[in-house]
Amino acid sequence: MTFNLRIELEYDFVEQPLDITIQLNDNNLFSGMLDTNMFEFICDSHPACTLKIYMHNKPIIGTLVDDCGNIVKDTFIKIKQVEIDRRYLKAAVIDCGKTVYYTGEVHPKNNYISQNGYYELAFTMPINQFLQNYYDSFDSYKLQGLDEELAEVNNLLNKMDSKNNF
Amino acid sequence: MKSVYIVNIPQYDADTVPLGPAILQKVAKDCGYKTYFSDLNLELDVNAKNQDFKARTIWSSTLTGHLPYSTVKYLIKLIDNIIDKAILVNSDFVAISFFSFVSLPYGKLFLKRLQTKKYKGKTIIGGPGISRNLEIAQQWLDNKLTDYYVTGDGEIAFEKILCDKLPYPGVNNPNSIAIGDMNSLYFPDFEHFDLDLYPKMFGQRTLGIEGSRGCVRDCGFCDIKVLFLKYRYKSGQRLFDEIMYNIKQYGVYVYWFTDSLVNGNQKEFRTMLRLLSEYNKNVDEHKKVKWTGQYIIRPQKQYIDEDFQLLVDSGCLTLATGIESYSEKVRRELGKNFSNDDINWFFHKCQKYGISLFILMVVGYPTETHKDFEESLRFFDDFEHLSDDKTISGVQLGNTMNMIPGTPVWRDRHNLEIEYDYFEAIKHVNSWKNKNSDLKIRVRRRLLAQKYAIERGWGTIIRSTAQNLDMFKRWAHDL
Repeated sequence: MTFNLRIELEYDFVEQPLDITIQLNDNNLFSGMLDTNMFEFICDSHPACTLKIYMHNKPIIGTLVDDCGNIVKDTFIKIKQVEIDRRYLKAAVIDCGKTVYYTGEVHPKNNYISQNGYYELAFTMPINQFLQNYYDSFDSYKLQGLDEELAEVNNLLNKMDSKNNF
Repeated sequence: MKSVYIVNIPQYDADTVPLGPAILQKVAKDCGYKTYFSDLNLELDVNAKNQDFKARTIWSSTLTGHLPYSTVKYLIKLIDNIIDKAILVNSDFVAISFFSFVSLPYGKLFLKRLQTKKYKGKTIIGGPGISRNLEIAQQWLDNKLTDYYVTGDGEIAFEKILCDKLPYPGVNNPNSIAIGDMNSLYFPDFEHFDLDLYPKMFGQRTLGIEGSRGCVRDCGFCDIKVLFLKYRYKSGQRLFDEIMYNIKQYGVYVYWFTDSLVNGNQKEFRTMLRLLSEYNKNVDEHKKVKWTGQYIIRPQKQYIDEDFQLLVDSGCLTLATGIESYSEKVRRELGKNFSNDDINWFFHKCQKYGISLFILMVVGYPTETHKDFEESLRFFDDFEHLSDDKTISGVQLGNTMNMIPGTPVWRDRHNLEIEYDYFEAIKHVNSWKNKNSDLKIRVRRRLLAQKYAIERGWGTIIRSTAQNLDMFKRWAHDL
């Protein structure tokens, strides 16, 4: 089984183009200089998947700051969107993601790589189930009562059928 | 000082603050009246949603059929509370707003209670529910249940009654005049409205706003043309000004457009989007305008590149759009001329730009065969991925097709071979039949659609099911 993975990135740099690696379950999908903001891969499906996007070469002076301390230009990668089998992960890209820097710093719920290190997103397949579990944490999409609702629909259909076949 | 007591009558989903009473309030104040307001619809809706058994029974029955007296008494108590207040403040007028034909039994009960409690002022009834049911309004006038009924646009007619400048077209007669210049209308006045009691979108106070009346289309099932006669709209600048006024006056940044469609006039719609986008760029996050409204999908070639970015920048978060059927044949027959390819293109644009969609569908259009119905179910397969990622955040399957008098399909009823069954507790508009379906078949299709959707993971996306199921259960006794 395979699945389609699309990744949309936003990025910028100060001195030199970015050297990145994209991995799924520790296998390289891409390694090289970043010159596009859209990647698409066909990947082998596993029950548990971990996507990692590395930034390797941010220099020490990778951020330009003006006299007031405002960032004028930065070297960064932002994971804008991850799409799996046509489903956008939207806020799950942040909520289920984290960044880990070479310094050992870990930033949970983060999709912005601002130092050398990587962004990590763990998800499970099938992706519709993963998304359902994710949205189940929001009140508006809680699955509670759905079995009862289906039973009620079936019950009503049966009642109507038993009265008259139509 | 003279006064008017304005009442909003059940029943419709109280999704937002009612605009009609707010407009009437502004008119009354301009005529020198003190105003009061009660929203009976909101009270009943909230109680029903809070699982108050009697409120829920009243809601699902739409006050038709035989209800236990103890249940009706519950509603009478709510009504009497309002009437007691109107008597206490010695109001000269009670003005009652009817949202739709569903409001008629509630309104009749209210008017009867006014008589029972010997209310001495005069009564005015109006709103879409009256405009669509002139015979009933005339009957109530003849039986002295009301002093005035207003048809069509109410602003000027209401003013003429309050200022005693009658006769006027549309007051106690069906000859209403459509207001042509929507830009000249008052900004609604929400004083006395407890804005925090109404449903909030995105956790913030939400106001309704009206950009147009009528519709550019003439869909078979819809009576908007009967009600509003012709399509009229406010300019993009006028709408922007109204939103800025509401922000200043009420501190409200979230808006629900009550129009049948927000993009009827593409030029003015784009003007408003550009103005809102510019405003949103220059304010802090918490002061950005957000909005939602009903929208028609147009064929791809009618879009320009910036349309979707403008929607996002202007604060559009959800668009409600009527697909009605995923059978192209049925959709064409009911008057919507966009293809399944157009739907597919539009939906994926919305996915890309992060605009969520609320889809409106109707089960059992008179030309819908069982084959058409099965074809329409493919919607839940083709867009399952958009339900998974919540690009489609809601689907309303409704209570099956109503045959509303005055609609194009009703006018064509002889060609469509429409006949009627009689069911004691089911409204006439629901109980029609022809060779393609009767009410049993439509309810069955509707339930099958819900089942099909739930089994494909659309469960939490299908909305209002509890109230729909309550209604079908009531109908099942007759079916």
